[in-house]
Amino acid sequence: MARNSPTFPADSVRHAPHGELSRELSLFHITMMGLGMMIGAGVFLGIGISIGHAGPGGVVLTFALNGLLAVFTAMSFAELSSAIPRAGGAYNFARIGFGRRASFLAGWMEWFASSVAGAMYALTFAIYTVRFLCKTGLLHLQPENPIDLVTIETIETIVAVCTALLFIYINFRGASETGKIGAIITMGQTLFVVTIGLVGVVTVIREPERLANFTPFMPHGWSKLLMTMGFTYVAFEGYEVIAQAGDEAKDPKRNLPKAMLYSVLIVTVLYTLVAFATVVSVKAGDAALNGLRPDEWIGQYKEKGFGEAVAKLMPFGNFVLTLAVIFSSTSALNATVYSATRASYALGRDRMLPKLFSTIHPHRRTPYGALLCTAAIVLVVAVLLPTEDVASSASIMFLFLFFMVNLCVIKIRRSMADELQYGFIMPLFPLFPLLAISCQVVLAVWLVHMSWIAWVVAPLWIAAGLIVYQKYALARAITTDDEIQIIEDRRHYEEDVTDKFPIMVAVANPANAEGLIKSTYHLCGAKDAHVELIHMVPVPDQMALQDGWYSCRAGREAMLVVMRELAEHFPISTTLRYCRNVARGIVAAVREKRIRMLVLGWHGQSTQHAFSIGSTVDPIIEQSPCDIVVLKDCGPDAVFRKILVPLAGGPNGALALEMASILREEGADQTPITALNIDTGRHVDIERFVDEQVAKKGLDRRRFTTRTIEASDPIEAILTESENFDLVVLGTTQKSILKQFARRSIPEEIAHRSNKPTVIVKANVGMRSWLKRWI
Amino acid sequence: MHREIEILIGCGLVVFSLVSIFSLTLWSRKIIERIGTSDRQTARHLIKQLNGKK
Repeated sequence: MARNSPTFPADSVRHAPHGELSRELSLFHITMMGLGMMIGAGVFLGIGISIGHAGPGGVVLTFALNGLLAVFTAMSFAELSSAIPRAGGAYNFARIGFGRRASFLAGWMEWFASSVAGAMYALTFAIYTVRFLCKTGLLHLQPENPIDLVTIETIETIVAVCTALLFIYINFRGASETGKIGAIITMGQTLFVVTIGLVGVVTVIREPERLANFTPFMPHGWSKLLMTMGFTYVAFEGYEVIAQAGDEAKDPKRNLPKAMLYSVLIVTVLYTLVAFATVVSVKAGDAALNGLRPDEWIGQYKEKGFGEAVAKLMPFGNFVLTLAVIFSSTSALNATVYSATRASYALGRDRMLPKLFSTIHPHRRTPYGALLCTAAIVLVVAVLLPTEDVASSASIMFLFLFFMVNLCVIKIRRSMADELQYGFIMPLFPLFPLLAISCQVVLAVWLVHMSWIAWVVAPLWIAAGLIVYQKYALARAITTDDEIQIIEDRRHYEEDVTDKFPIMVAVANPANAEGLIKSTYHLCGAKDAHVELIHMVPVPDQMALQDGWYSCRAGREAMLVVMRELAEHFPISTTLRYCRNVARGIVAAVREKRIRMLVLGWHGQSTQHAFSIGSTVDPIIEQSPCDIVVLKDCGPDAVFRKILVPLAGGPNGALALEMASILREEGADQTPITALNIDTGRHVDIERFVDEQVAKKGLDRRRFTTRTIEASDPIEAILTESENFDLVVLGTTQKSILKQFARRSIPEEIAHRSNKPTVIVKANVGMRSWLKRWI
Repeated sequence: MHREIEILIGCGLVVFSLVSIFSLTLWSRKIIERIGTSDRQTARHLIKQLNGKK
């Protein structure tokens, strides 16, 4: 049973990170929360339908493989919630990972998915309650009886609607249920499921011939497996609710990820056991089967198949089952209505949906507007759609939502892992999220065989969401672009600089600034530039941006150091900004000021884990739409007479040669710049390449000499060769995304290991760069 | 497909899934404990190791 506390404004905890709620939920409680959400209608409905489609072996496999897939996604949730342990779940992750549009879509999908799941729980409750009433004779309904003008389906729908209305009212009242009571109820549910599983195992031990029920294993073929996996995916939905407990859990960085993984592990074992028990619940050849195979007999009852099987498997099966369904469905219904209301309320609160959604009842303190809209979806879906389509629609929406979370975990680890303190970091990254994404796509596609309606409803909802965002939310959403705040933006010149080449120099502190002056001086001279000096003051999430003043001083001093040297030679303007993330702040400034070249310093030691070169430098290199020059150890005393430019025929070759030409110290020793090619078997005509690049940049060809050496290890070869030079100029490589995750590129490895001053350059390649960013 | 082979593959997949889930959970638990009991610097080192960096 999920922990539900529908009294609002629970969401306000997002804005009050300093523990206004007491942290009292232990690992056990939050694990139970996840279990409680999962063990419910999904498995009760899913088993009967899955046996009909996939056969006896297929149903066991369905739950085992779905469990594995759920673990992959649970690891993503675990990593993200350990790093961002705040209420909000997918909505929060998408906001941080991909921005406002994605977070709107995540909230929009979560709202619908939870609402549809709520309808499914209401229907499950109704189906099993009506079935129990019929079995016990309390409700006498025969199809041939003309008095019964209503069918069983109609009664089920009426019961579902009444149940849904009851829980909508309960949510409106704001009745809360503590995690501890919820945990007890969940234990009851779990006990029931364990009992069924164990009874199944004992039955097989006593009557091993029942194992014959597994033959044929998959009578309708293996492709049905994908269909039933997609259909029952919703049975594994629930562990993500643990992410919502971030503000109330004890030691959330450790306990949230553990609870997610434990709950998925437990639930997978239980589901597999129950599916097994269901298959062996009836004996092949039993007269009651009317000549059908056991799986055919169970499958013919569809969503009620599980109930029929349990009734055969154990004494008082009907009664026990009904009790279990009542507990699990109602608690899950309560939780999903709350969850859906909360998702839509969050969108309303952030003004991405009309004010109605954020309206709080003055006495009850519940968001009744969001609740009303959620109720409308729950009731419409419960009344209009058949059970299979309802379950499929919920599954497909959760597949989409979890797909997005898996993308978020990749994006967030790549772009801002240095800002976060992870309590859990998944191994073999990004293998598991990529596997999960691929499987989710396949399952979602295959669901079309189960319910084409789901494939109409889900994309329509997403399309509607995009329209709402574009037409409504985009203009009205509360701006949280206080992510960057401009403190100072000054011009220290009066001349017109429109014809000058705009170079931005990012300074961090006085020491770093000193290292940039000399090279910047040469660059600006060669390019006839005007200089934009920028310093970004990073302010942690927990603090208001205005509080960033405390660390302004270093930046101001750094800018003064540079200005003292360069202001008399070039037009300079200075910019000082507070930001949440230095890299994003610099990239935004580059775009805004239409900078054509960015100069950065790099200390050379990466202390961060998720990036190749450095946590700040790496995203800047990747995202800035301009030429980039990263200087390592190019301090004021460095003299560059002999320069080595390793080339491999890449797109940064021209810029590397140009930089070498600019940075070379003029003096008596006019040793030409050496363009070096390492022949590792891939032939590059270095002479011709240098000719082309030099001509492209209009450089003096006589300043360059070429050299090719054969070596099996280009890194070692370049490092050895660089010992004879004062400076190494390298171009970044265009690596595939997978390679970027796997290891450093050759230039990065050299930059890390070389003890010589190094310059890394990256040329702006326009559309390709944009495409890469977009991908 | 031959029935016995089908059953064998099916059972193998079930066992594989369950064993994988167990292993991944235990592995993850170990990582959580290691990161949780380390100071920040060591945690970063561990994270680096997990990312396959030297």
